[in-house]
Amino acid sequence: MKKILAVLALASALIFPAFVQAQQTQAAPGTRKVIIDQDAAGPGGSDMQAILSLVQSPETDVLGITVVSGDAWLAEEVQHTLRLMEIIGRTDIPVVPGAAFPLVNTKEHMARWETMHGKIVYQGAWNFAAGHAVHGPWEIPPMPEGAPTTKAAGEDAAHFLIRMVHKYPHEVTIYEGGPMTNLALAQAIDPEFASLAKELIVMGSSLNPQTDDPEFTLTPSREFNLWMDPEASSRVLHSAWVRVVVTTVDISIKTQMTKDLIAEIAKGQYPAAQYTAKYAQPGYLWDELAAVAWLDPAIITKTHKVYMDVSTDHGASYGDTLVWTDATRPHLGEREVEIQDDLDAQKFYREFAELMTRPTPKTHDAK
Amino acid sequence: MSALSSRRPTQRIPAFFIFRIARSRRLSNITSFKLLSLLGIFVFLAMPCTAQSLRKVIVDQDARGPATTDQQSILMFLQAPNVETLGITIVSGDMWRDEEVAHTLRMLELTGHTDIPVVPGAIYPLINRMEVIERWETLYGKVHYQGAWNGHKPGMNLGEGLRGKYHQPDVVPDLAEGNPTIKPSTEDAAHFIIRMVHKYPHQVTIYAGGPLTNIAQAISIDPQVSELAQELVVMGGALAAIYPAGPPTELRREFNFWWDPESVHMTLTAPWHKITITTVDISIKTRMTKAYLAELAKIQTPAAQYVAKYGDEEFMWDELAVAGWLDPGVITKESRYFMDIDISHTANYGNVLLWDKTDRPGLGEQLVNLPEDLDREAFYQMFLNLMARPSPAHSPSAPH
Repeated sequence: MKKILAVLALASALIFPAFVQAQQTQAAPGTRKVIIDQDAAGPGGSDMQAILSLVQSPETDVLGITVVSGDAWLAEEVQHTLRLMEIIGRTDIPVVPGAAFPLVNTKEHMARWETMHGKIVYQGAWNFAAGHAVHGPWEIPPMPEGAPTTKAAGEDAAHFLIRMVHKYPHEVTIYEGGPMTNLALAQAIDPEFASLAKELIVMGSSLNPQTDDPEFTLTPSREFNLWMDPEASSRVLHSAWVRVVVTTVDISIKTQMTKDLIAEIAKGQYPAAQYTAKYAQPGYLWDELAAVAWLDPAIITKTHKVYMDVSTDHGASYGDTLVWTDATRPHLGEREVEIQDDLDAQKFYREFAELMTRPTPKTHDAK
Repeated sequence: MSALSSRRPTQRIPAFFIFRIARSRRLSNITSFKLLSLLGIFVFLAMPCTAQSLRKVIVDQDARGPATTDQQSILMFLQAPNVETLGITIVSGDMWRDEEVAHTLRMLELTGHTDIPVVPGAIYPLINRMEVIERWETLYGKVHYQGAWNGHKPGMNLGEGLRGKYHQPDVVPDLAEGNPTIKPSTEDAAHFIIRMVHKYPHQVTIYAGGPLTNIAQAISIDPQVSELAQELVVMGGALAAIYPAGPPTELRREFNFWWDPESVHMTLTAPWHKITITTVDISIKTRMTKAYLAELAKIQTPAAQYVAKYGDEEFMWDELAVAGWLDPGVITKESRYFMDIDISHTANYGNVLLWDKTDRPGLGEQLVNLPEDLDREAFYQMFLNLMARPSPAHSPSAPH
């Protein structure tokens, strides 16, 4: 009997490598509940690839995708996300619109700030648009992947987040790949929100990135996601999470979506792989690393813990990451977070490519 | 998160590289630099040390003592045969001014340099105060090292290299190395600096190894100071230092700059001909070790004996800034950026701000030279050689 099992295991290992991967982390299919909070610029790119990583995993039960302005404006991001769900056949996953604007920060304020403190190269929706001109928050430029026919949820992101953590207390992972506006709103409406979640997974912050790229070395504490809505970041980093894991600029820039990796994904036959390969650009795998490292923590080879906040002072450091040790922290409710320091890059690329190229899992029961 | 690094328009990239002096890893360049500096030393030694050929410097220091990086950096200037030290201006920082004045006078006595004027400067920073920082810390977290303020309340980290217990600014405890009998100058540091740059226009290097209060006062009284000086050489600031086992929380915070941020802002927005700043990033690549102190102990000169007796294991912060000025060949890699300091009363108060040509605000911030890497052997050898020189290295100059 044991021999037969071994043969079966070997056979399945040869046929379904991704399935074996899932077995190794010992999560039953469709059991890891997650809400994806994302500034979902598209088509393709880091934001969409992070969403795909979590949806493509057979381990996850994606309760919904809550969208927030960041890399692009909310309205267009919702459309790109809906269209992606149509393409991969997962229109059962609710796409829930969140905040169109940060709590306090504005594009106009930041323009004045720059005259005092210097230019900020990347400002997401405020100064950058891929393939078309920078535009207003409600305009939706033509979509290369086609416009969606499905509609966004009627609920708003904050209330959806609150409803889900109450429905599944201590079971829901909140994955955050964009500015923290939606999470801050949820926390403001319901102070129990953070403590009812299982954990918070963040792509954000910058500690001391080792690179020659001046975008990161001239302002080593500035990172876009936390910077765009500093007040939201600070609120979320003072909330009573059970656990917070942070993927920083420091580790993200150790990854690259190379042409080879794109070519590898292009070999995939399923719609997810074809979509990813068609719209992918070489660049850092910011949000994908946060997502895939949550699926398989063995990708991360080194971590350390710090206390983290974001500067909400309207000075030169507005939006910058603040970190302390236990000995130096101010004790104003700042949270201890787990910082990812280093990774097994080859393992990450392999698992990311597997996720992008595997068949999209079917709808799970019992939503 | 997304970023322009992958999408940035290509024309933006080269601007940064224009500002990087990538001379470090190219063997031919290193060789030519070394040859040049060797040639310089040779030419220099061949010349008689007349007053005209000496490089003039004012040494502005927060002169903790005995020894330590502060006194050791002063000694390097005094021991260098091609340098005329016009005076040593003192500013509170690592210790209070009056205690520093006493340590400096005593060092001059012990090393045979009593002809050099010691000029007292600022006791307090322009704006920053110990009591304000106490409140600031309750909002933004503890500051590891606070120089003369260290230990003013129970439980404070005393920091590396602190000498003695906290006391009031006007108290001068008995010195371990003996109390001095010579007296400081009656002029104040700011007026001394102003007088010297007018007396020797475009010939005086201002070296600052401590907070920049004296320099800022001089500029405030006479805005011509920066243009009349030959150049400004500073130890201060931190960019993205990786400490051997250090806190991640003080990335852009460095004591000299943090103690008096407003003075740094005033100094770094003045029009100097040249500014060179030795930051924490490169300073922590150097170390005064026990073995090195033992080497010094073998040298039978007053200077070497003084350092060997009172020196500690410590990063050679201020000595490195001197070495790069005495012999640029010690520095093997350098970059250039626009620098200022954050004077907003926020979490970032006293932290370095840095820009390149493309993103700077254009509010008077200056382009500064930032040594990034060094020839460690050349540096350690230079320090030994200087301490091994007999003192006084040159005949006393005329009274200033």
